Amino acid sequence: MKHHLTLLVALALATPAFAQEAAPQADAPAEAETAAATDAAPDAATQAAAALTDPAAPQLDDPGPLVAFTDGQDIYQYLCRTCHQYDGAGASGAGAYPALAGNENLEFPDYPVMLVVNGQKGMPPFGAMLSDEQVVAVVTYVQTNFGNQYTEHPTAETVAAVRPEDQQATAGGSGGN
Amino acid sequence: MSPFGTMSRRNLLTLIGATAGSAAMLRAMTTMGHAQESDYKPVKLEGDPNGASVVILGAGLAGMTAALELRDAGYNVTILEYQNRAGGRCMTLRGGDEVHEMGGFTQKVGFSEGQYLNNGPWRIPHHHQGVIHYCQRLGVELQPFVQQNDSAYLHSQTSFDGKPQRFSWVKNDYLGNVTELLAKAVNAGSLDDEVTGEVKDMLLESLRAYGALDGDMRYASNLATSNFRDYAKPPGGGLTGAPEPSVPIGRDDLLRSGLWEYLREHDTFEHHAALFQPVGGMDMIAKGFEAEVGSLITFDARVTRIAQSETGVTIDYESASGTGQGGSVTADYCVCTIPFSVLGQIDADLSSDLQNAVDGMWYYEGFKAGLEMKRRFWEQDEQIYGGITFTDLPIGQISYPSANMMSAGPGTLLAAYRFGKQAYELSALTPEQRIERCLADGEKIHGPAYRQEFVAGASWAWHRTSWTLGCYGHWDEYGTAYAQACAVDRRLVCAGEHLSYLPGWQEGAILSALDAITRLHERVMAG
Repeated sequence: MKHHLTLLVALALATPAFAQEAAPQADAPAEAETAAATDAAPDAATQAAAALTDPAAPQLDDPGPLVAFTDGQDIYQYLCRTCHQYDGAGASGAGAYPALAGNENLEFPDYPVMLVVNGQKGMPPFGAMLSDEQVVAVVTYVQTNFGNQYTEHPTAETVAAVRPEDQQATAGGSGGN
Repeated sequence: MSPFGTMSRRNLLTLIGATAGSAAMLRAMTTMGHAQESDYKPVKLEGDPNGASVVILGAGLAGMTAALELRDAGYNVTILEYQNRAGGRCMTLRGGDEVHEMGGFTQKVGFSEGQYLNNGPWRIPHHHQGVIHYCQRLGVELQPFVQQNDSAYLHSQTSFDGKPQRFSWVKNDYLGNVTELLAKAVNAGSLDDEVTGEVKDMLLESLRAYGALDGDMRYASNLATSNFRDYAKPPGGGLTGAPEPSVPIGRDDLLRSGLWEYLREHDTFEHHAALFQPVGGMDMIAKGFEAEVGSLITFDARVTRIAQSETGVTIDYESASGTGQGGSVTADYCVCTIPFSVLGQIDADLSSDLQNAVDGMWYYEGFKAGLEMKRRFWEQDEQIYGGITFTDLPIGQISYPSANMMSAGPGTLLAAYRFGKQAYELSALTPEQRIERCLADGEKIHGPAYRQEFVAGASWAWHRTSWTLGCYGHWDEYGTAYAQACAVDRRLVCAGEHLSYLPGWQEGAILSALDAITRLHERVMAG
């Protein structure tokens, strides 16, 4: 965890918008705090690239089908930020990804939990990649970051209640195409 | 001794004839000789539509197939397209192209002249007769695409000290070890309830031949097994030409490595040889269609509203770039190929069944990257000509170009092709970080040349593509909702890869379009 957190912080710094949002976690290791505290904006991309080329830097992921991270921010950065963006602002073009920042649909946990587990509209279901506890962690993260200050968070029971009996459909194509 | 054992095809037929009678033999011969028919049938839209008009939403392969056939059948056709290019997901990145992603990342592709990355579809199975038909009709030249290459690698970070293994080693050692074990079980009488008498003898003979087992029915290090898997020193000429056998991978190491996971990849129907690719890039297909129907396309048109009435459809659109003019198109009918991920966000008058199907569909992730290399070191140093290396590193795959083999010039590798959780991770990185990740991973397989020969890279994240919001559509099951999504809804019918049993394939887009316009035309003719 220690190593990949360092790496993630370095990656986060590459995007100023995220760097403003991402305050160091209370439980983050000292080196991550140091990295975050450094005024590295001009060199952010260089730092991120250096982190990636550092032979000591571990993989961000592991080969198994499940997500290894347990921390909500880690899971967000790994699975969610590519669409909902580093700062939770969403994105748009022909179609759009909703912003999570200031999104009132996140006030109560049931709706975001349902979306993460089962997907909705274009959003794939992530239930088969994540444990109940991981869903709790990532939903709690989006409820309490990007300026959100929602206080009613899910529990493992909230998640278990919306899981289908047989969760076969999941994000993760075959790659056969 | 023949490496194929003593049982030729003719002998096998003789045995089948002797033991099962001539009817079984005839059936066996028929099976051996027949290729499966394609689902593609040339479309026939008979009858005069009397100038009826159709507006087609989306100038991908589904939309342009529909446009081409409906125009030829006498319809008055208009196409609205969000982008400033035709082809949809049938596309190719070349030097000078600019990529603008959702979220703001931009890339300017730095490939040399003639180098490219097929960032969407990249291969055409020989049984995708719809795609092949239109390629022939539109003058799109196809060339072989190398899918299986026995010299390409299988790679696991945690097995064999991270050293890549040749596909031929893993495949033949797996077969050899499994046939040896099965032969032991047969000889121990473990399968006497299943096979007896001459069938048991034939099974043992087939295992010996198939697995290259020795006289003791063991898969061992010798020239017979090397003839399949590879040699320590391959056969040569003259006094120094004597071959030396290689040593197979141990059974337990092989099973623990997990590399057998990839062994059936090339055996799946969609990967059966032969496969093809357009000469010069996949978008040659898009350009072929565009040459026929390009004059019917209004580009830069973002559809904002789809309305239906008793007499027709009205489509409102705005300038996607904000620099052009919006407008409104009225037509008698509409073929909508907009991906459901995007259609679900448009104000559209759809039946509740269709709307539910649209809202119920989610889209798979997909990530690709390409790296141009100064020198084709995979060919020159490693004797890999085309084909695919599979790895459990985040990049997932490396594919070697099927075109211009043995040229002295550069070559462009598919340096990452990933679905699943790693696709989200890679897509979230900045373009520069993605290329660095590709180099770092590729180095672990191909060594320092991978970074030394690097010229330029490009990547594509399908979930950061606003006109698809993903790679391709998913159906939990092909049931009622699928049928409702395909059905003509008053004056509108949907089409695309997402409405086919070939999701994510160009063939699916074309077959879906042909099926949809056939049913729409029947309705028009019925009045």
